[in-house]
Amino acid sequence: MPDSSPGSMACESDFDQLCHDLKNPLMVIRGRAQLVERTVQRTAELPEAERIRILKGLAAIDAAVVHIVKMIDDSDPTFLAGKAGQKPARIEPHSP
Amino acid sequence: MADHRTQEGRKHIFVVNGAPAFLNLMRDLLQDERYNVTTTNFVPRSYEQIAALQPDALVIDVVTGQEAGWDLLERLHKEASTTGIPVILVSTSPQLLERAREQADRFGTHRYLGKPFDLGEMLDVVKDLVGEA
Repeated sequence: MPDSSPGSMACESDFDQLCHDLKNPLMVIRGRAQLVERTVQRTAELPEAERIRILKGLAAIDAAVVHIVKMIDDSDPTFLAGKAGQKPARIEPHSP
Repeated sequence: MADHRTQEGRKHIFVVNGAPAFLNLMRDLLQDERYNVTTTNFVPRSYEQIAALQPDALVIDVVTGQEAGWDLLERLHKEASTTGIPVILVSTSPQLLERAREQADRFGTHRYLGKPFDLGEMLDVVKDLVGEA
């Protein structure tokens, strides 16, 4: 593969690795929550109040994941990777 | 190691990714929609499997700093027996997806999804490329 591949053109920094390491499990969390949502939506036997409660919980998981991803994407690489004076990253609270 | 489970007559999706948890997620999603699914977490040997199985579409994950995924894409696009197979590229890096999009002629990629994507988006893309299972 020549050096002009997208992989080698990308900045292979600690930050990229950190993003990858964070987003992969977030993909699994979000995806699994969405699979459960699909099951709940088509399970006729579930009482309506219970269905609503579960769906609200799953929606909260999804919103939390989207929030974390936005934080990651908006982060300053040097700040999050701890390269600029080792200043600790500040995590904003998430309110679903 | 490839996990190959097929049922005759259904559309076949082949997923390449280094993470078993992601492969299991894709398998559960796509099988739930009645697609045949093959998964592998070993990129270097996946070309031979893809060429032999001739799936209807591919889901390939690319990772910053790892060339195996790009080598696979280039080879799939170059070889006559695999160049026509639609490729859905997924990645945790929006920058990688953008650069792949800019070089779509070289890598033969068709669609792009940033992880963590919505499963509904993945299904929309698969159905758009290959139709219902």
